[in-house]
Amino acid sequence: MASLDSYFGFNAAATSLKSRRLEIISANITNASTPGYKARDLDFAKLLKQHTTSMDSGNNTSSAALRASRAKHIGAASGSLGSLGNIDSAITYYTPLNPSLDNNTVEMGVEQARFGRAVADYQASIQFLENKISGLRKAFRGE
Amino acid sequence: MSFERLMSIAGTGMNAQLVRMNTTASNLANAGVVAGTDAGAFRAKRPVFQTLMDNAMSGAGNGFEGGVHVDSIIDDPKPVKQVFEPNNPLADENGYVYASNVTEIEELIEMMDASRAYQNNIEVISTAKQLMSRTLEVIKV
Repeated sequence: MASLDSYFGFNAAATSLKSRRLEIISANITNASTPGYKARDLDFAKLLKQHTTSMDSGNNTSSAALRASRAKHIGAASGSLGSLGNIDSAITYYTPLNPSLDNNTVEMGVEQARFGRAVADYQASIQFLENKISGLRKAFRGE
Repeated sequence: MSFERLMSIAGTGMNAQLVRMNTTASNLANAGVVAGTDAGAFRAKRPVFQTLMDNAMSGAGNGFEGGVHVDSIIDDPKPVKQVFEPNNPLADENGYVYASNVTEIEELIEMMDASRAYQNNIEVISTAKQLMSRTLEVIKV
């Protein structure tokens, strides 16, 4: 199955990452009237940074990895994108535009927009997966 | 995939908002109730929401905060109205009865807010359902 994993590449991990983000935003929406609740979101930049630094230190020596001859090169190690590490460490709070009296930082309009965006992101990564699968299927059929 | 969890998070939200709507209905129904003592007067009921920790919901537990539940139902601390009605059989020795502290307009706003929040949770569930079936289509022959 290792070859299938590498065929799908980061798409599988991206899909689960995006479904995690949907979960976080739906928790925000659900807690819109909980006093003191702090709205949160996934910080994608932070997650990517964590991931690339862990790849720099770890996987670069393997034979399939790109060689990094400069310190600032981003290592594109093969196969390791399947695990995005600890997603939850990249969850951050954000500052509300209009703070409310009960210290709840959920803003429904903002949250709905964020949710819509996350849904579109999820659908995009499903579409990528689907394209990969239909390519594979075409190869199997040999038509 | 964790769409089930997404749905159960929104489900707890619907549950909590329903409790809120129930208290609102009870407040409105009791708005005209009078009592003979200050302590016996009806006071508006308010649910206090609290975030459920994830592991309390599904055992999946990494401490992430997920759904919501009704922690307690408190009485509105506003003072009750003292009305002079000496002909009322419930009146005390000075001729006063004690009306409830329910404000109808406040209750209606509360109900609208609860119903909007309920609708938001429904929207989350129906979107999750769509995404779930869309994900299943990926492996369709």
